[in-house]
Amino acid sequence: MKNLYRPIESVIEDIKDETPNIKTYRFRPKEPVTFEAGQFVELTVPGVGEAPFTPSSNPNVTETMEITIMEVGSVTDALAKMKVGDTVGIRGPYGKGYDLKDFEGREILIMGGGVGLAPLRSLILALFDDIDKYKKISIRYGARTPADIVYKDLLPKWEQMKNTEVLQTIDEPHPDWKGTVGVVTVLLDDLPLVTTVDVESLPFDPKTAIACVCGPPIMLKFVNMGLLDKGWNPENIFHSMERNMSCGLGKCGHCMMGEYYICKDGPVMTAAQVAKFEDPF
Amino acid sequence: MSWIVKDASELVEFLRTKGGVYGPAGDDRIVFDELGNGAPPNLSRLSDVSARNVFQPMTHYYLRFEDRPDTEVSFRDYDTTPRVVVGLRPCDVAALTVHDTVFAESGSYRALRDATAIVGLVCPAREEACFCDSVGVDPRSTDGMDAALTVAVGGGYVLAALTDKGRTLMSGAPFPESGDATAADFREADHPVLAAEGVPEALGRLREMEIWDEIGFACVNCRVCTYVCPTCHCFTVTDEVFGTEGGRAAVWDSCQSKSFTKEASGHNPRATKPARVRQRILHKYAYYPEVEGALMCGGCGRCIKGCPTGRNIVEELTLLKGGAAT
Repeated sequence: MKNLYRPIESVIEDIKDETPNIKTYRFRPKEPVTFEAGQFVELTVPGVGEAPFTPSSNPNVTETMEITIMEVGSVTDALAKMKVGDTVGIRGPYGKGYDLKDFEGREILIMGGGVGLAPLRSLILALFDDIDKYKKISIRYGARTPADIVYKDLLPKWEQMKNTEVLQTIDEPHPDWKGTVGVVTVLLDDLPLVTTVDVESLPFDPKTAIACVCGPPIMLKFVNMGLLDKGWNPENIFHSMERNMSCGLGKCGHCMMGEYYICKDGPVMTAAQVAKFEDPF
Repeated sequence: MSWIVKDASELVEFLRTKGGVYGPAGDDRIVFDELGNGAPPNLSRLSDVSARNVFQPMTHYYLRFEDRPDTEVSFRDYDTTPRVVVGLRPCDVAALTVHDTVFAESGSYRALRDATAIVGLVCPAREEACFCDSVGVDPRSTDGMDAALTVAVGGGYVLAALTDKGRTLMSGAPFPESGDATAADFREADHPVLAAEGVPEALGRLREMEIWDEIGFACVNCRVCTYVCPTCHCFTVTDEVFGTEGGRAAVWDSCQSKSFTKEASGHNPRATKPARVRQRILHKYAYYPEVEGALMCGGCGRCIKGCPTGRNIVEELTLLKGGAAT
């Protein structure tokens, strides 16, 4: 029987600095770990512990897995000290992936804040693999400063993809930054509050467009409010919920939110699912 | 088939020929532990701590390794040698269905359960904190028991084998047949009970915070309610290294702990006491029922007896139900 708690030994094959405290690691698991965009894995640093991460790599690539990770706790700090050739453990995947079949023929808004773009990257790459199936892909990304932007090399390439736009902002004015300034919700300013105008002229059809959102809890809260104010269907707004999943199987209780276990029923939850909670983020 | 057992320690001695025997042990503080020969289970009153540790070890190292580069990682399942648990009462046996449900996919748990025979105790008396029948548990029920002890008139117990597992367990029993021995009457107690009908539905509407401030006011975050409870099952996965040896353990944890939901980023979805108090009560009486169709409570009352500040779940549910109705 497959042991659900057995971490698969995975060798660190490459480490790339994204920002001063964010790195992208490429792991080669001893046996392929297949996942769908939106699912997460538990990563072991031997002797230190486990922490949950959503892969950043293309789910259609199974031999290796990339995860973009910020140093923020014991596991990630220990990981940051590891070198190419060192071994970690990966178990999973857990949770539910995005239903990409349901995204077909629609406009897709992808909103990331800070390192929150990392989990969305696996979704973006999966969408790019079937780019003709989607009406439009709009990637909107906010970082604190220009130095905190992840995937600096990839964002310009993504912009070149068919039917794809990339909008960026940083929180505060900075001498090196010529673009938009303001927290990430300023990137929703082109969406009108009222939807009485002709849908054809809108950047998105709020009734059918899909939003996939990942970032710090405060960002999810305000993007959620913003999109609902702009008439988006709560069934079509997908939030990556942040919780401290421990077991990954809906047993240990850490990630419970009401009757949901975020690790099993999420980690992606719709605005409709979280609407009944006072402060879901 | 049923027998007369005059002395519970003789029963333990006999059962120890069939496997490890666990039961309520101790006098001042009764907890479930392995019983040795001549060690009678303390059946005089409900144990202070549930038998959860028999079915979910407090700390289970499921992975062991050594602190060297080419270490072999070894996995350890639960101990699944045959064993008998003596003295589980109907509330505890009912509560065990929660673990059976939550850990149904765990091969290790299922093997442990298959290897375990339950010699229950039909409840002789209602104690001060009991509210089993409020949550639909009959204190005289033998449901889920492989064999059942009933206090007999004139002392000792009538022991009945109820399932194939129980009959196998009792084969070769050196006890006289029960004949016309009769069970002692259930001793009632006079204390308020909860009208549990409609509680899940009522609580399902109680997501706002004000009422939880009031409910949780006396809580001192000690977590004892979750550690004595037979239906609580939350745990944490943690790595520990001792010298050159290390391991990964599943360790009991509690939703009443502030760090239970704290993330590495500092974000804590249940940072306040009312939010944690709400989580415990709603998980047992609203969330679990919504998903599984049954209350996550056997009505044993250990959380009431164990609470150092005198919180009482029966009173709280009654208040909450009333609060939701208005």
